[in-house]
Amino acid sequence: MRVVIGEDSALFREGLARLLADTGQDIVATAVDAPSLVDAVRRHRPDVAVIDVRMPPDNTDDGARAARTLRADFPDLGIVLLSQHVETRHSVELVSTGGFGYLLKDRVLDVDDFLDALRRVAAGGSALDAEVVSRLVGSNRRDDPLASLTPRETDVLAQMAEGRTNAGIARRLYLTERTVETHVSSILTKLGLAGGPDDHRRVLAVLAYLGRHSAITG
Amino acid sequence: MPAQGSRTGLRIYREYVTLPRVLAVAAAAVALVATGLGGVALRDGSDAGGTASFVAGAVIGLYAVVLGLLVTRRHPANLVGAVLAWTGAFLILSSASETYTLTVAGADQLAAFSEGSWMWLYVPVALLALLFPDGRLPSPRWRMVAAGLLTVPVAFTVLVAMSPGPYPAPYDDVPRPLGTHEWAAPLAIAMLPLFLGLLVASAVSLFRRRRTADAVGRDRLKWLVVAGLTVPATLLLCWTSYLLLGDADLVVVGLAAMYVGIPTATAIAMLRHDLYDVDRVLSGTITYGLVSAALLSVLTVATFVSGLVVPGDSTIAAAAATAICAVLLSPLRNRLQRKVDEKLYPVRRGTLAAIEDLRRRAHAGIARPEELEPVLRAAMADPDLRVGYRMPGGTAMVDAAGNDRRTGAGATPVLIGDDEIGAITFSRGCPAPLAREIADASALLVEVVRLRLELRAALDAADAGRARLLRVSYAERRKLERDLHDGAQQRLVSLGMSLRLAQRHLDQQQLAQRDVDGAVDVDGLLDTTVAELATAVAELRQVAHGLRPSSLDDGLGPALSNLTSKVPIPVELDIQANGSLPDELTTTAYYVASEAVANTLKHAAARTVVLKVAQTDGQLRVRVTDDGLGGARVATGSGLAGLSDRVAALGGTFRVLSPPGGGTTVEAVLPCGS
Repeated sequence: MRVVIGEDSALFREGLARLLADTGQDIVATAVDAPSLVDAVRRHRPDVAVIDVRMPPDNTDDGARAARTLRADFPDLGIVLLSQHVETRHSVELVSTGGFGYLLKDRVLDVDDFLDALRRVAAGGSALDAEVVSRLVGSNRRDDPLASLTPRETDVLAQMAEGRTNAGIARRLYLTERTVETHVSSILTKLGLAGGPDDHRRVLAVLAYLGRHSAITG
Repeated sequence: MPAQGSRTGLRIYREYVTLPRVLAVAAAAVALVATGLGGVALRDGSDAGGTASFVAGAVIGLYAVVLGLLVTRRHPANLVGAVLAWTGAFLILSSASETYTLTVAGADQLAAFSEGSWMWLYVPVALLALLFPDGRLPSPRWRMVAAGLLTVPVAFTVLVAMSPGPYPAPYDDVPRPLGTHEWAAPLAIAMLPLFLGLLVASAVSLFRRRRTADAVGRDRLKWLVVAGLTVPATLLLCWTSYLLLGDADLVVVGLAAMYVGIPTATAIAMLRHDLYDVDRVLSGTITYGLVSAALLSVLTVATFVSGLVVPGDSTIAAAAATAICAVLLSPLRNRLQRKVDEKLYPVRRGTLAAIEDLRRRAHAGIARPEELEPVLRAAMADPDLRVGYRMPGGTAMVDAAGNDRRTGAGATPVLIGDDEIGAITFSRGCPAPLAREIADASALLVEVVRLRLELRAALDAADAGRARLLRVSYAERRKLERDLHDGAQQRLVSLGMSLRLAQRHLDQQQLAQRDVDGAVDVDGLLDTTVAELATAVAELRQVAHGLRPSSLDDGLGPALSNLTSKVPIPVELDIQANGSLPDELTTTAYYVASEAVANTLKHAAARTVVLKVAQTDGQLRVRVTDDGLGGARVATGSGLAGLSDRVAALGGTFRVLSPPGGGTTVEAVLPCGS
């Protein structure tokens, strides 16, 4: 994969670049702030851009704003936002649009999972941090259809929300793909969502559902 | 340049040699000469009574002359001073000529003229009334009166001297120098009503003037009225004298008082009309006069009645009657004073009553002492009156709201002991004694106001300090949180990535030795280490979150959603906070919600929680209600007490409603200024 990294901390930026390069990725550019990141993406057209949410010049959510700009200009660009803590404002909304990932920074320590997420996003799929998902799925509200899910179904839903395919979920939860499919259709029925063969559209529907019901709005 | 010099001389001459000056000096000269002649006559022989009478007349007369000169010195163009001097001069002239006629051989021819000379004693007083206070007649028409006052006594004296009949003793045998004429006596008698008419006209002129006078002129006229009150006072003395002594001897005291009183009052009026509060003197004089009259009436009746009941022992009866009168009259005096004040001195009475009323209402808690200024303004009809308060330890004056206030140079200080605690500026002229009295009456209220001001300033400072501390502490937490995220956390992750990189480069040989006894399992070790690092990062994230939830960066709504998403019981969220709120406000609101929800989870055994946030009318209201056990208390050192402090630091209110078994409601209302 051709990767551009936008990250102001030199330590993290160089560390990540070396680690990804070591796994065979092509780090075509690194940027230290939002404007230079946008420039770098325009110039190099990477498969995926890994962007820190908090970056200069404002040190607030400059990275997230740059991501929106890039998404508008490059619909096929994969974008993975990294954050030090769980921010729900951007995550669900962006990830729901596809080709987006949102992960805590320390997820890079699990190199294989991280690469898996990058590849998914580069291919137009999604990656949502397990921490965010657990908040979405774990919220307790009155008359919540989520409460009617069995524990196993909740696990499967979380995996779906993180952006995994049926095969990925099966591998992760040590289930057969067939069992996963059963769970998925049960979940969709309980939540009143339209099912479909397309993994990605299914994930989007789940995320949209969770986003809509979690009272988390931009 | 002699011409110019002489012109200057002329100007100086005109400026300094004024008619009043000339007249006043003439009066002084006449007075001195007359005193001298009288003194010479006394040396030649007189009885003790005659000596005393002359000395008294001379002293009182000279007193008037000196005052007249003083007034003329101050007001060189005003005739009042000269007339005053002549009042004294006439008195001395009268008593000197009497003594002279009595004692000096051959001078008894003067007796002819001294018989009608008493009329002259009234002339200066009447002229004084006519010319007072500006030294001019009220209008040209009054010239007739003035001329009459000067000519009628001359005619009267001459006519009396020519009247037939012997002189009174001891001049029975002295021949009349101008001869005797039958027509002189009726003519002289005809002069009397004419003269009386002129005196009445002079008195009336005072009232005419009162209508047209300005404030100062009015004050001066009042002084003359005070002096004029000695006339009825003399009558009272006459009455008393007859009652107690059986003759009119005490009248002499009254006359002396009159002759001292009128010049004194005139001089005060002309030199220092604001020396005393003339209204107060006037109303006091009238009150005491009325009380005395009442006392004497009662005494007269009592003496008469007791004389009937207990014949012979009039001393005891008089003493008893006096005691009874004193007891009866002491409450009467206060009421009378109030009545007289209402009529003659409404400002003093009204203002003091208003101050007293405010003090009473402030004491009862139905008025604020800060209302002193408006109360004084209304009572004194002085819309620009200002009350300044001196803050303890300060020098500048402030108003009741604590703003700087200039009191001006003419302000009357309000004192407690020797401490100046404030000042009152009267923009309409207020006599110094009344100003003093008002300032003294206001002192307690002023003291209360300044103490309240000081207290409020101290509380404001404390509030501001608390709010500042809270903001600083929030800012510190925010900084710490960022430092943790961007510093330690980032560093640990980078370290972990380096370890992963190293792990990827372990050569296969080392990996192959994994199973050899005694060899270190580097790969496994690195896995464990990186897992530990990930745990450390997660823990740091928790710490940072505890310092300040990063989710607050997204706004209060998202932060509270985040908060409640981890709660294991159903939470109903109703958040209506739209506008961007200051950080300390959202942080405090967040802590209120977070602590209240945590309390519910820990203690309440509740089934549901309702979290409501509403932003209305410049207030941010956070309310957390559960359906649990209730009975929560804000104990010292508890989380709820800490919340209460945080909310109070921002000027908000915090309350906990938690009846046993009735659930718990925690509510904070924070001012948000929009």
